[in-house]
Amino acid sequence: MSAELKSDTGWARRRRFSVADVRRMVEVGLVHEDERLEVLDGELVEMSPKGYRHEGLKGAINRLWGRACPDGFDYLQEGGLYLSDDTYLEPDFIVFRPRASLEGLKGPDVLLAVEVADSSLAYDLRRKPGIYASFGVRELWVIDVARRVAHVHREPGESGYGSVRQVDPAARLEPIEAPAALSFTLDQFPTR
Amino acid sequence: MSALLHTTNEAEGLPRRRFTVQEVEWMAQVGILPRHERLELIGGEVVPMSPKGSFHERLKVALSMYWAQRISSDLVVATETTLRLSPDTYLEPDFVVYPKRVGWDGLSAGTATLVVELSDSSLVYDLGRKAELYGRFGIVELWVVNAVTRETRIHREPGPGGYGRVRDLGSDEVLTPACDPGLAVKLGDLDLY
Repeated sequence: MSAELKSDTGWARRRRFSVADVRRMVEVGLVHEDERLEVLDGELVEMSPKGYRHEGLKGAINRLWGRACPDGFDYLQEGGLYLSDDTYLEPDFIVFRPRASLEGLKGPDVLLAVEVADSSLAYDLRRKPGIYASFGVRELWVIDVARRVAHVHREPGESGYGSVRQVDPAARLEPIEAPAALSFTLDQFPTR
Repeated sequence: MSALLHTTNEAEGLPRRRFTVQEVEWMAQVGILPRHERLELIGGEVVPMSPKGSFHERLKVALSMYWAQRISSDLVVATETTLRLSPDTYLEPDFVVYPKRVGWDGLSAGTATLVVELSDSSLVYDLGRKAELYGRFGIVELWVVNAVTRETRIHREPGPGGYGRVRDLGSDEVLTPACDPGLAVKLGDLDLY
């Protein structure tokens, strides 16, 4: 019996698609441009629909960072992050050093990634940190919109982040490598 | 490429994008999927078929020669053909028997009268999830043959939860399909070449 053909659940393993395959699917119109997908180790994962709370908080962070982001740093909202040939994620925010082209932006170039999590909390908290860490994303904040708590992940390594701590809404979220000007408390944003 | 690199289960438990039969054909047309790649589509998931060993191939040849000489004039036996079960599921069983009047274009879960899967490396999967799938889609009779020992599990009375009647037969027992008694065969007696 060849074990590698089956998953733990007894289902056969699925075919791996590369990010290039998925791009081609979009090019030929097989996958619609509006389909919100991430590619996780060769699997096309559908992103959950975003709720009002999620969009409200994202908008607030965007407004703050638009004013506060100093020269020498850039940030991108829902930018595609091509981490490897078969892994593509779309974090809500990434902060990095300005560069001529976003092409080639890799995990270690990302000083801070932010995932604003509502219905996707389990995925964002259990699965995504391991992926971001293994690709060397320096710091990850997963913000639980419902509980208004941030999970700050630092010290990326092959098997995940070495340091994970919860930050209360009243405490200041201060990035390590991204500029201090981008820091905020969740309490400073209105609840919607 | 090894099966391990070629496949993934990374997104288990997460909502994955489902593909349709039409989309998989499209991928082959535009070259995203190489034409020679042997795949099945199960509930919208693209599953590579396990490599076939020599036991499998030799038994397939022997059974197809045996049946070609004996099949009733109103039936067709097709080997490794695409059996579409739904808009997002197709399988490629080793043998499918169906009425001539239906034709290949009319081949479906409802018109197939016998499906045979010869298994070597994929036996557990074929006896488990795959048999359940055939049963759920109403394939009236399914044989899963262990290509190495030539033991067979005959599945009948399909229903939503799988097959209602299952019988295990040894290589020295006669297997008789309900659709055509003329196809009765003792797998142990087949000469392999």
